[in-house]
Amino acid sequence: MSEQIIQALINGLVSGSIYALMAVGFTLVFGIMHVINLAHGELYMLGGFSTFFMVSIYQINFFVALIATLIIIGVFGFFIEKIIFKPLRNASLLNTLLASIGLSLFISNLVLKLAGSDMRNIEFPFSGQSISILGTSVSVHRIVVLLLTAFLVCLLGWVIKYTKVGKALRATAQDTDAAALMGVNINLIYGIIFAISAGLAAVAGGLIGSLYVVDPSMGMMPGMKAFIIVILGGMGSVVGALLGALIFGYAETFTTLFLESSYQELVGFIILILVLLFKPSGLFGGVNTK
Amino acid sequence: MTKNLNAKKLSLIALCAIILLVIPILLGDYHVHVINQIGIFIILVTSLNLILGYTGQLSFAHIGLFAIGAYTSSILMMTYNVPFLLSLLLSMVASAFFGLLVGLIALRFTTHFFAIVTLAFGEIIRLIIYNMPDLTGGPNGIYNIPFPPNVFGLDFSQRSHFYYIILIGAVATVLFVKYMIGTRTGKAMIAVRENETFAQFIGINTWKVKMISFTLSAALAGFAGSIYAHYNSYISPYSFTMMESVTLLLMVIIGGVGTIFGPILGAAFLITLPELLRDVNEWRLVIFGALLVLTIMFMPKGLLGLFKSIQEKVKSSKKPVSNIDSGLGEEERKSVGS
Amino acid sequence: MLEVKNVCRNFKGLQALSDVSFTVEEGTIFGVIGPNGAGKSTLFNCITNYFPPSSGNVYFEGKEITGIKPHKITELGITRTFQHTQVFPQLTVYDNVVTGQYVIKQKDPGRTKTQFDEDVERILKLVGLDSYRETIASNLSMGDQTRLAIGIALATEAKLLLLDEPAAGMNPEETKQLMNLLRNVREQGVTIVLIEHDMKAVMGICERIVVLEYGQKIAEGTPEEIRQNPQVIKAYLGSGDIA
Repeated sequence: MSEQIIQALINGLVSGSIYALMAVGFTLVFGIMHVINLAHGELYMLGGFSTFFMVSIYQINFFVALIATLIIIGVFGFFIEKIIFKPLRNASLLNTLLASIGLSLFISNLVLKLAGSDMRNIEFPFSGQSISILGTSVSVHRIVVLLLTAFLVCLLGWVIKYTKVGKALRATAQDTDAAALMGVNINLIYGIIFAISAGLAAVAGGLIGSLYVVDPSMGMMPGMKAFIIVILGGMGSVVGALLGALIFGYAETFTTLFLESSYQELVGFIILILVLLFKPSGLFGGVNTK
Repeated sequence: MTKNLNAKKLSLIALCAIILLVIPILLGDYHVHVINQIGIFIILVTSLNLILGYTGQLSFAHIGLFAIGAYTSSILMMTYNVPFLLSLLLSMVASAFFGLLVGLIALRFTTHFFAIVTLAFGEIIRLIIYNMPDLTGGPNGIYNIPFPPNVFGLDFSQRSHFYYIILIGAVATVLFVKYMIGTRTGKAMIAVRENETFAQFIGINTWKVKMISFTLSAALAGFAGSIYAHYNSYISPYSFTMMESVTLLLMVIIGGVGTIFGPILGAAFLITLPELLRDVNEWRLVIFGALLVLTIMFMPKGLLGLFKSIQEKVKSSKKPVSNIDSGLGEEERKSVGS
Repeated sequence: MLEVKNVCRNFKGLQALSDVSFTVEEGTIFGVIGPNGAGKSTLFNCITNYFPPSSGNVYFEGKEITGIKPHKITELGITRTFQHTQVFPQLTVYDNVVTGQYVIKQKDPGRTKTQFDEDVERILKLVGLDSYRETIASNLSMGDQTRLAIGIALATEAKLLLLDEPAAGMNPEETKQLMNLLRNVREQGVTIVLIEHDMKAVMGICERIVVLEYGQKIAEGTPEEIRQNPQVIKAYLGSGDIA
């Protein structure tokens, strides 16, 4: 039993870290651009496919493929912002939300038509290997996933805090008009934010694809969950999104441990409703933008 | 002049009525079937339009309330042998009841928070149906739901006969919604859509108005659900997914949100499109996704709005068309409900 | 009729209103003036509970109304307009007025449709918009929209109207018409509290005036007294806003 709980603790951490990659991007896009992008999950799905094709068909090293995916889907995200969200910048929040759902429907069904509904697994270099921690065997695979996500989140933190782009980002988040006056190229910044968000989601998709499977419908729920996590952590708050992701990962993992797995999907929605009812500003009181 | 106009209008209505009445006699079974589907969706999207178009609340829970109507009616009729009209009525009551419950929680929130909470409820309803196999058949759904065998002594066991039930239902729903928005409460709904804060300050109990709108639209969704179940004779949780929910929204939006005729047009368009282009059917959801994006980007007032603005341009462009959004709530005060 | 007692309001340490008190007598037109940012709109917001006062109380006809829901306040008989005139842009002029009657339906369910319709007609005539009844509100000029907003407020059968800078953006002729309209409204037994920038207009129409500066009441009295009050003169000179 305790073995099972330790495994669950690790699994929760792993799924929490994947959610963190999703939620951080989601919250950046919302906090700075005031866009609720429900197509976020499809970028994650595309990341899964991109990694799969590179690894399984072109025999590219997994980690190289992951970096390439980050860049490819990042650029894709940049253009999505330019083509769809830029023209909608003055539209109401709900209209952009609807457009993003349309985009989600479009991408997921297009991939379904082109690639079929088969489930595919991405080969992972160290699959099957495990090491022993505190008497419990833990797969190397999961540890690598954890380290990679931790590295990416730290890298993002470093970019936001110390680089020129990061400063421009923060200035835009605080006051778009003032940032524009100070010479920040808002259009470029918005594109970059979207690219970062898309790239991180894509890496999450690649990692999940190596742990489980890649299929065209894999993005729907995680995209929704990213939104729920962001509400849980407080809209627009990066730290909130990280903590929210961990809580969410654990909530789901422990539900599957004690209840039937078909209830797992319900957990997120119930958390969402409870948080909104009792602490609408989120658990970690996000910067309530607007 | 007005008398003339009325006579013209009346004869037009009479003409439409005659055409609608003779459709099943003139057309073959397949065409009647397509028209029946359109009719059912007209009921559904017209009811969605009440909360979305006229009250300005983006609800994703509608598909769930539709499902409740469908399941209630099927279970009542098949397991408990309740006659059709009574199970139709009870499915409306059931949907209204659950609509009331969902509304009690969801309508504490506004804009995107309302949207995501209703989305959650839509999925919760579907997942509960999925997880209650004893009552609902779980993932397998319910098969062989009967056509209503006998209503007021009339036989409805054929598609072309069922047509008249759908016709009456659709006409009644459209007329009801039209009547509703003409009432003072209906005007208050539009006021909520236009500017919720201002509405509060002229004495409109906006929460109550939204509850009324949401519950009524839920009842009508249950009505549509019951007819859908009996007509298609098969329902399962997969008939009520989020994708279907988005399709409903697209029907309202592409036709023209907040107009009586828009959703009718939208439903007819989106159901006929894949039927007309057989090869396209498989690409249905891809096309719908693209259509939703394009509609929001280029014609937020839908096809009707497009026709109107073309008409106005043809009429030697008197005034530039004012730049109004699709009428969905722009309001974001306090971001969460009061 | 309306009593504001020691009302304070803070925004993140900023004192937008501090200890403001005054009483409005029934049947009067009461002015609230002051330089920009003096807390005039904040005062209205506290009275009608757009947000509640940080401390202090508001009484209407002897009953406390502090912190009551906005639509309840309207039910009791207070209706306000907003600084940037607000109407329902996609409804017709006629339907805009109808929305104001929602509250009557709650208070007096027995009223017949003919009565309601007659009321709308009467109000449209009073505010001078009876020839625009089918016009979509967003197509009206700013001045007409302001009058429509007053029409909506009248439809709620308010005993007390709070008008937030109704003359903003109007030319002198329109302002004069508006002031005549307000006099007519008062003739019908409606008490009016008027926030105004245009000193001349206020002086001509109000029986009593309160002057706010930096969230504090610096003077109260008849227009004559206000005109001669040295503090008021200083406040307005200081802000370059002299009438």
